[in-house]
Amino acid sequence: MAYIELKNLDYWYAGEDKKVLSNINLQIEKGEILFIVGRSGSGKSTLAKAITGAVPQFYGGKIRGQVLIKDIPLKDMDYRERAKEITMVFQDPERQLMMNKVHREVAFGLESVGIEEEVIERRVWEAMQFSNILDIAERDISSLSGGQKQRVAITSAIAYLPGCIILDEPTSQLDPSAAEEVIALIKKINEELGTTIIVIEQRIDKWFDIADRMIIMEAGAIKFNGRKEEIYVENYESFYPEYFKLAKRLGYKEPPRSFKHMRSLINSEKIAIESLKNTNKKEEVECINIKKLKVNYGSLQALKNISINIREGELLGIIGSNGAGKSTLLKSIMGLFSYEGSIKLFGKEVKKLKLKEISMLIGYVSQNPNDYITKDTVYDEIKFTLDNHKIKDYALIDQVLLKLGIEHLRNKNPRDLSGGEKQRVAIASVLVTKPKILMLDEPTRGLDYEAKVKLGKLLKELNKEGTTIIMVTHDMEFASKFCSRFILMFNGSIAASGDHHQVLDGGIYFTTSLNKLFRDKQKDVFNISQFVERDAL
Amino acid sequence: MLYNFKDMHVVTALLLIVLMTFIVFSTDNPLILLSIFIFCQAIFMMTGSREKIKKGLVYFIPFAAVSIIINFLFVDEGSTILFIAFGKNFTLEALIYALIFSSKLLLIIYIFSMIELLLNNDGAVSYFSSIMPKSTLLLTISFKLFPNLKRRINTLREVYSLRGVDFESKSIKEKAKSYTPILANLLGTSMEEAFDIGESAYVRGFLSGKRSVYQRQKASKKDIILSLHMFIILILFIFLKFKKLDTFDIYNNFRWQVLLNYYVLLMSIAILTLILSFYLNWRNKES
Repeated sequence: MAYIELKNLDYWYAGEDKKVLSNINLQIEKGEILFIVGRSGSGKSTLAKAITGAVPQFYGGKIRGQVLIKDIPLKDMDYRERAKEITMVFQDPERQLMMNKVHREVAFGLESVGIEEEVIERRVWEAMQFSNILDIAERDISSLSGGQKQRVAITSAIAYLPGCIILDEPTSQLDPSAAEEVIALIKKINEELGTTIIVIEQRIDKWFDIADRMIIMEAGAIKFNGRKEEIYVENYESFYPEYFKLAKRLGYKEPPRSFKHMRSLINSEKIAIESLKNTNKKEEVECINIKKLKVNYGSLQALKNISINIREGELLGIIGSNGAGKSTLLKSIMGLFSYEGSIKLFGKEVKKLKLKEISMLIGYVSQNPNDYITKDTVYDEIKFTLDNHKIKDYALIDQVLLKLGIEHLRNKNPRDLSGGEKQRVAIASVLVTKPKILMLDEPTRGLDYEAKVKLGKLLKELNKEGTTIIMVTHDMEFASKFCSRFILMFNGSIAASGDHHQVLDGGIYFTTSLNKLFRDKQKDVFNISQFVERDAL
Repeated sequence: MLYNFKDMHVVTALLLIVLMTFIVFSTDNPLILLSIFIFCQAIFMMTGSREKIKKGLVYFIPFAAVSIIINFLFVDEGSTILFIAFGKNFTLEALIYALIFSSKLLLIIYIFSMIELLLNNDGAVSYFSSIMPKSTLLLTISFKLFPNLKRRINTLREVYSLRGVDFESKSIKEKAKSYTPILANLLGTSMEEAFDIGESAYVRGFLSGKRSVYQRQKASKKDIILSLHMFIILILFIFLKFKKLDTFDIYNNFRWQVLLNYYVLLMSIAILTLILSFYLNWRNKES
């Protein structure tokens, strides 16, 4: 008897004719870590919601087939028993934490399911001890970082002592170090408490290492279901961790057992590696010149004496830890913060320019493409930007739609689009005025692999056509693949600036997986595109 | 030395707020209002929340100015003429009335500012969730939405400024129009957010039956003392109202004896001794 079993499960959201889940048959064993991947809209989250019972009890809609927990049909389970047995951690911690203080939040769920009052106190404090968050027990949740908030949400889940915890993109909003802390905690929960874990994520690498089994979903159906190593023989490269991609590229028949194993395989091989072509254009024309820039938030100095030049035609990646000042730098250049020192945009001091003038020179795409949705069609959304600038040349709209490959979405409602498509609409809505500089804040957040590749290619193309691109990102693989120059920031200052060699090579944290794998063998290895040949020694 | 009153029982704290609000709305007597004002100041001082005094004044000053102007313009009753302009009498009585009227707004602001100093929010959510869970969930969702909305408005302002929307327009009509896309966006995201919070509460077993209470608050000795004190104030106030002893009509036959009668003094002392109650009960509970 499987712990969780889904039999011939079909599901339709209320008012929809299209099936979101189609003939799902799945068995999940107790104590397993199941990793569910798939493109946006493939039905991953709906599947998770079907296991919690939120689909269809909370969402409505039509369901066919069965979900069994310990052989009991979910629909026959008491709501309270179900909540104690299976719980869920959502993508955005802001939208699941109800209380102000951390320990109160951990207790909230236990109160909801009526745990005896003499037991709650022990559960709350023991769960916090387990998650190593006792130091923040009395803190206001609003004062915590994103990673801390997600750990509080996970601790609230542990406190139930559930049989299964489902995590829906729990690290998609976190920086890499906070994500690693969350993953380590989940591994500990699984190993020490025997809790079944179901994880849905777009970030493959770290979750792949702790998973026992993988499921790949496509169009509401399960396309692959097997041990994680088995995806190596199938053609699912989009869902490979970086070292699997490398192993495949090098022609290994068997997958490496781990990242560490991959390193030992590399060290025993003779591999010819093409040096990275530096595509950084050496234009002499400066578009942004920053001198002795200081920005303060009250008593906190967010940017400390920054001086840097950005030339036209660059594709620049700003990397660094959370709170390093990356977004502040971006927003200061756009004139959104008052500053000391000097920022010159095409020779003009930013603080002397009006925002409207700056917006003709810089297009800005924020972290959340939903910020750009106010109209009922993609066409109207892009036209809105032109109207604000009093530009009547509406032919520009079709041009930008064509350039971004979204002409087929012209009359669609932007709210109905996938994450990657919304991202393109957001870019289109700022590119339509033909700004010379495009700035993007965490553009790969929440995007699946395919959408990321498409975005990268698009940015490269725009860059080739002359648009200077500046992006803030935590995604080192993406930055390394597409950027030609980097700025590494810590604590409001620039720690390193330059090309791949100057910034990424030999990095402890802010570098690519491949650079870490190859560092004993060869310097300046960053991307899989660099490999040309492998000979056994 | 700062005090922390948040271990007060939720019900005691709410009773205090309700009683003070009731008195402020029910009387115009300056002495009673002054005693409430002093009580509020004392609570702010004891908890180190002096900034709340300033914040209250920020709202009070323009409101008082507008009230005085309007009262001067439309009321010429009263016998003490301060000055005459445009053939109209400007009286001391009209000025005092406007000041008392606006000071009541200031007191309401102060009383509501005291809520976060006296009430343990999580304790209140926990307490009321066990009595009326649906309404509490609804209120919790609303309270959670406000700070998020504020953050979203700032983000959207940045995004739309750089899409060419002019938020600095001088015309009110243009300014209102410039916020339309932000409001359209907020409407959608707020609904999504409220739905997500509801879903999370559902998955966590909210409304699955009778709730238990973590760190259940019990009425302590100080809650009982404070409640008794408030009860005495309430009885005294009802007596005053019933006998019309607190009547203060600045325009008709005003006499100082009305303002300073024995019962009003007694009432003010009862309110002011609340400070003593707080001090004696919490003197060993510094934050």
